[in-house]
Amino acid sequence: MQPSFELVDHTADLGIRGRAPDLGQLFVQMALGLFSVIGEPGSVQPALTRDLRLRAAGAAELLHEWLEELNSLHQIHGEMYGHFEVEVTHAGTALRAQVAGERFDPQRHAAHLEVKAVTWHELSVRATDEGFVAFVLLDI
Amino acid sequence: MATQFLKIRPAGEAIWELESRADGRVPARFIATHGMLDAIREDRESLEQLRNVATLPGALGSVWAMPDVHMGYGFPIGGVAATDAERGVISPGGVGYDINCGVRLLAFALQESDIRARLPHIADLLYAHVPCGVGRGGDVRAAPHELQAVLARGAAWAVERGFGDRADIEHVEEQGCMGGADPAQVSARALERGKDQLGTLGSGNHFMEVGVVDELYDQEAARAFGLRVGQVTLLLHSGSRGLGHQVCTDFLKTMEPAMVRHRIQVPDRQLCCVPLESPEGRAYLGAMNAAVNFAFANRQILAGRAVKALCAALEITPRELGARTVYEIAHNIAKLETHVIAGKPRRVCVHRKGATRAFPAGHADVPADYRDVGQPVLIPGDMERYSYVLVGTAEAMRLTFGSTCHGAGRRLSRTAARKQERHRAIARELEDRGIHVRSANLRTQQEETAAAYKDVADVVDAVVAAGISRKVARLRPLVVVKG
Repeated sequence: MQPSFELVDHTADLGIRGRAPDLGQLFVQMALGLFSVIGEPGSVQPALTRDLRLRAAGAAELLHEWLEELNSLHQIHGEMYGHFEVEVTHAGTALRAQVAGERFDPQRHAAHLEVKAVTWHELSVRATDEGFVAFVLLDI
Repeated sequence: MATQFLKIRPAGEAIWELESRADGRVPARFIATHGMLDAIREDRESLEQLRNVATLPGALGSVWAMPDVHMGYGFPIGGVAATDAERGVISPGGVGYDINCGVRLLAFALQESDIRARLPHIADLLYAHVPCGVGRGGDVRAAPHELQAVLARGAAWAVERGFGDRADIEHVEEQGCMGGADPAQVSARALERGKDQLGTLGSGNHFMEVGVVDELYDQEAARAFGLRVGQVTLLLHSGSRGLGHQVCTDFLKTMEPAMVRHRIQVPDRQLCCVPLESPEGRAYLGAMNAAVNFAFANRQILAGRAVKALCAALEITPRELGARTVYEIAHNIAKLETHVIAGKPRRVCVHRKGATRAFPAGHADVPADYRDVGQPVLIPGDMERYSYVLVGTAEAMRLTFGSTCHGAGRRLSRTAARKQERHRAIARELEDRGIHVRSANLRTQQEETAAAYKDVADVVDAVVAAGISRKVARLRPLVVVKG
């Protein structure tokens, strides 16, 4: 299974569906999806890094925590991220990640939409024969 | 495949009742004219969400979807539900992430002809003075102790810092300060997300719009609200920014385990709720009210900035501009109110998720100078057509817990709107029609055109037909600033 994400239509908001052979790569895809709603992650240089460690009750909750954390850090510090390395451990209940990006510069970075929150609506992380599939709905 | 419609039955003029879920506690009703009926029924997901809301413990009367209903997460957008204040629940999903997202209308001592020649300059200066879009923080920095004061005092805090004046506050729902705010319940992260966002508009459907009153329908109410044909107005739409979003996120997380303890089951995780009279319920109410006050302060600052920008663009004094707040409403909120249910006054928690309070003439919570006609209701349309000023009615108190619609309601998803509108030179086309648009990016323009929304005139016709509001005035846009 090739790691990938797609944005899913919703009347007022936007969903992200991701696929990957393992949970670490799946979380990378979902993060790229989030930042492609906010801006263009491909235009972001890895000028600064942040190390994250997160825990949650299950894989779906961990995904929620992960995306919420990234969106909060983006808003609080005015940073855009485009590079993610994620290791998911403890049966999908913990992660270690390094996130790289740079200060948001409106002259150089495309900016599309603010994401208000990552909702719990139809949030899912599922194992399939080929890997993992996830869905989240963002409040725009 | 054709959509399988949910079964409905007529329940009054422009009122329809959905077939209940087996675990539904109260009827689920929606408001629509015959002309809108099929479109609403095709959006089956929204109506399913409404039926889910009818399962909330302690729900009273009926739960309602307004004619601008569209799919949300948990609650539909355009949903109203009242729960028993003593034995019922409070649900953060019934408020939404953007706590106290709302609308303010200002009216000026100017006619359209006074500003027509300067519209492009007004657009430029409004856009420059009002931080909007992704990554644009505000320059109103509140130190941590000051942020606590914002959360406790709302719009008054902003007035004391030179944004607008006391008279504005008289015309804001709850006079710009919600009682019962408990800033101690607001997390450090929420404070961090809010600290640079006071006086910022946001993105998506948030906007600031200079317009003109182009039609009056109710002379008495228009006179009371100080509106006349040709008068210049300003409509602004924003909320509690990252602070409010984080409050909702925080409490959804703490409420899930609490819900298990309280043995509450809901059909959708996002409908998570706890008894209002529980430690978690009271904590959420206190934090939500604090976020409500942040939004009141935010809009007070935004209005103050707009007034400065207009004075600068028109080279006139604030006195010559004559800015007056007509009213400000909240359309994402849960409030403790008294409503008559089965002939008895009951204390209830009214959740308005994309719905507006619409109190009638004579109600004590309507400002004294409007009390003979009722509370103004502000209904933004889209940036190409029009918006409306309505007034609340006694029928709204009888039927919908004093609530009505909140806007046009989206018709197309953002992606579909972009696809459909990609060949239009929107800004140039609108300028040819006398509407000057400034936005952080082209995508926002494509996503927010008239095509993306229902015709707000149809939405208004439906709430008027149901008797829960009356039309007062229509506003036409001249300048639009979008995040």
